[in-house]
Amino acid sequence: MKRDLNIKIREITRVEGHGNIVIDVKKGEIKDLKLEIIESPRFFEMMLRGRRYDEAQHIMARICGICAVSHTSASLRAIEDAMDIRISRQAALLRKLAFDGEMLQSHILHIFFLVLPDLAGVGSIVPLLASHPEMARTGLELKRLANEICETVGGRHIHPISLFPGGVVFTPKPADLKKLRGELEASFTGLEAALEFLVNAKLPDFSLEREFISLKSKGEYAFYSGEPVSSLGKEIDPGCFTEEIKEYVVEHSSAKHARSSKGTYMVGALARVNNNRRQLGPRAKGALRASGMKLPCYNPFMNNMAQLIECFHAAEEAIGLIDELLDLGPKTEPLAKPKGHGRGVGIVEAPRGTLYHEYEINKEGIIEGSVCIIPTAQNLRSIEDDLRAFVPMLLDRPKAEIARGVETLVRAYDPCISCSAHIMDVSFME
Amino acid sequence: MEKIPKFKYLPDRALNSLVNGLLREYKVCGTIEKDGFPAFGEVSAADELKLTQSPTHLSAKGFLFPQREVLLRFDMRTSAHVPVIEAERQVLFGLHPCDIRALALMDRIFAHGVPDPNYLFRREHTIVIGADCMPDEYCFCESLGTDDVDEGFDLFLHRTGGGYLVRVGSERGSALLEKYARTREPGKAALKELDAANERRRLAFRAKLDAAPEELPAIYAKSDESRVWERIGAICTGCGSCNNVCPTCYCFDVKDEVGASLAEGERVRTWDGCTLEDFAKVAGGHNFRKTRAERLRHRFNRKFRYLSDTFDSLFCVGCGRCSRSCLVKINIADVTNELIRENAGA
Amino acid sequence: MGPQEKPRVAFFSFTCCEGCQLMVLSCEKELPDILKHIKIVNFREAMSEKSDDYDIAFVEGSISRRDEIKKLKKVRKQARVVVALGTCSSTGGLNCLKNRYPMEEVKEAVYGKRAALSYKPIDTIPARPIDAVVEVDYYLHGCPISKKEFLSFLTALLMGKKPDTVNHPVCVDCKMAGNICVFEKGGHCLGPVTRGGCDAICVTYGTWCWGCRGPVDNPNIDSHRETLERYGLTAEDVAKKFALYGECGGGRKC
Repeated sequence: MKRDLNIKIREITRVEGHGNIVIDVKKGEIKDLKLEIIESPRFFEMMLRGRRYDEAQHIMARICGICAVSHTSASLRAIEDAMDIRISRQAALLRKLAFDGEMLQSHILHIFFLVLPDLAGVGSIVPLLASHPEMARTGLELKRLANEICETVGGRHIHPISLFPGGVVFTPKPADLKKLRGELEASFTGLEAALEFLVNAKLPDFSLEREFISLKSKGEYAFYSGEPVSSLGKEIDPGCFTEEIKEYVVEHSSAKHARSSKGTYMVGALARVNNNRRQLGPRAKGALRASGMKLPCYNPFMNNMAQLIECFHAAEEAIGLIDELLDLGPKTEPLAKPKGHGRGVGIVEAPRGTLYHEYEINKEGIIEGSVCIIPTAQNLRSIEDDLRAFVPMLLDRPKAEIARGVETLVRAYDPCISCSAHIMDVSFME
Repeated sequence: MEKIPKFKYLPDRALNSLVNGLLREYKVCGTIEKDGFPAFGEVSAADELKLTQSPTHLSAKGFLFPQREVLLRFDMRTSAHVPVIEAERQVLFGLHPCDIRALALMDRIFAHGVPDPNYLFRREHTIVIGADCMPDEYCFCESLGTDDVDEGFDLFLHRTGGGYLVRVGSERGSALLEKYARTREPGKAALKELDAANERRRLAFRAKLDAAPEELPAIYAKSDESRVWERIGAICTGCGSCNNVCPTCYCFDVKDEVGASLAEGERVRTWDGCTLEDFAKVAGGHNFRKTRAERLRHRFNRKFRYLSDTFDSLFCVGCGRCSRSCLVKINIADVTNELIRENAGA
Repeated sequence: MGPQEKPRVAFFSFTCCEGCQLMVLSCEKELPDILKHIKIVNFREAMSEKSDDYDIAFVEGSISRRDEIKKLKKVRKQARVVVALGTCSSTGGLNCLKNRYPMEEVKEAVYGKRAALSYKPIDTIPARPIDAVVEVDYYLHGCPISKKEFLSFLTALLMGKKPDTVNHPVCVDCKMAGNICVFEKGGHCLGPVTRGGCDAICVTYGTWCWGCRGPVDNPNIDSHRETLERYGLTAEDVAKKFALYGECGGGRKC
């Protein structure tokens, strides 16, 4: 059908941050298609410059309210890499536990608050409370638990406090950890219910082959640490990440775009499940089987399924971490001291994908320069490629339906726009 | 009735069995180590209790007069309200003489006028076990005569070589000791050691007041116009720490907190402090004590003058906590001595 | 709004991390109850419906681009009550750290010369609190806001009571929490001059007060500056410490 179409969706809802979608179709051909990122940029690179190293994690957490633990973790790992700081086993376990809490909180928020309303044909969780009360309450309860994990370790989920260069400056009580463990054990019932709902909801069948980039770790399914790898079989040296991944500015976005040496790539839950499925925990593997997802999976809508599978993994990993902590008998520890200075890199798998922080710290412990590459910024190119392939499949539908389909596709990526627009310098001034 | 001997000897091991015994029956609150400093806190195992001769930064008043406590629960749909007294049988373990003196003053305050049921109920269910101490640079209890106690405790522990000399202050204390710990009669050496320790302690006081306690109300009464207030008012940040660490500051605020249902709620009492800017602010925005200088003067007078008519006692026990916690180094003993000097000169 | 109708509540977000909105969504236990008493008509982060008809507007984020000024003025015109939600909105927050540099330098350093000259989305002005642009009825402080304060504010507002604003320093919360003083532990803290209401959570969880809630009504900054120096900081360190959440000076004028 040779159709003319002009769609502009202002301020996509149920995403974090501000973005518009612009689509211009002339005679059935896409003339213009862009995801405009109109979020007001924050210039964290300039905010950080000249501040002390032990303020960096505090400042950088504030890039994003949803993935504050990820930013804090990437920040700490960059600081500790630069200053040659080795943290204790207890500190690493606590940080990973907080990380699982965030993974769970962010995925649950996305699945229950942002995606389920689409599948149930309503506008938000508010009508969902009336139409699917069980599901809505399960979501609220799981989210509360996820928050509680972060609170127990870090004081709060949004901008955690105790995660600090050299370790963790608060020690949770064993009784609180045991309580969490019990609640985590009970959380699988809710996750199973969500899985059943998602499987029955029949996510759109749309596939576009692409490169997946994520961390990979020898001993575990990589969230908090690991080395970057590509699904095309390439291992990337963390110190040379910015040689493989190039960021560039486009006129319609306050978030930079990124490409790998191969071009478009995707990061996030779908990339991780594709790259690291063998390392998922037993319950998560069970969820993967039950989901009917065939790997490699190139359907961006299945990112939501991948997120749910990761919820299973995060919950079972958290239980294991708590057991290890209880075995260890958590005690107050002094912080590990800095032994050096210079350039440092910290890469983690934030809920939305690979998150890269890099700092240059001088011998007075002052930050002189920084680079931060945000998952959503890395996915923008992939989203636009997907839209270009997906929109022609919808062209015979009514305009409102096209608009809804397009918005749903963008939402499947769980874009964190405020994060993506809070970008920083791509190169040091040398 | 057989006279209770003055001291019992409690070896270190027996202290543990006493604490373990108490833990079975009571909530035990005592001196623990927090971030490397002595502090009062709940004790969940005997080895957490760390009896210390150094003063704690915060007093133990929160265990009887909590920072935040529910007084009442109400339901606005039915206008029903139920008074709430949340109290457990508890032991306060490791109070120094000044703390025990302060407790006695708090008892009088909360029984005065309309008795406060929450405090009094909690107090009635509280066992007090004292412990001896050594003064630091801020302690001046000796100048106020509050450096020792003969009453107000159930047991009182004096550290000696391998254990404690225990004074029994009540039948209840005696029974607990008998039930949970094996004591024996103290040897002469231990008693001698105690005398030596008391003498060491007496000599260790560095902060002193230059007037007798009974002269202080009159001196304060003549000091309203002193320049001291302006000077310390200029450096005070109004952080309220002096109020909050003080074992005899008892001011509070009462608020109704309504839940998200807008139907049920709680009436809650929280600590308040007269050095805080909004303390004397009334409806319409008028503030009776606008400046930090006026607020400090008020606090000092509350300790040394205003309450002495009603209670025939000073309300400072010389624990030095306000001076210790003051980041701008306003020192209650120094300020008082300055007023004493001003009055001697006038 | 008719007497029987629920108040219509809208949430708006400007330059920030959206953590304060998320804190509202974190009231998982209370949300179902809250929704019985208000109608949320605008909450882009969580819902698709949008409406320009609202009574109460919660505004998060600081103002740091020209188009935000226009949008915010529109919100003020519509709303009966405007509430600044969180530090960015109420005092300018961390965003103001960039105000230390000329805006052209800020843009160029991050996006490059060409983009800085002409790309519209990256336009930027010195960051400022929302009361630099419109009149604000109430302030909820904190980076992020405290859930407890948000809930007690909302219930007071719904019951027609005057909401409380904490005006005591963080030291009060800290002593009530039973913490050992940061200075005693060898650290440096902004607690004595910073507005409380946060339960001193940053000290309880092992750090110090960073000053996120801005100063109390009449802070004795000079005296605290001297204290920080007496405890070992240089004048420059002290200035930097105060600047973390206190750089909004440059963005005040509109």
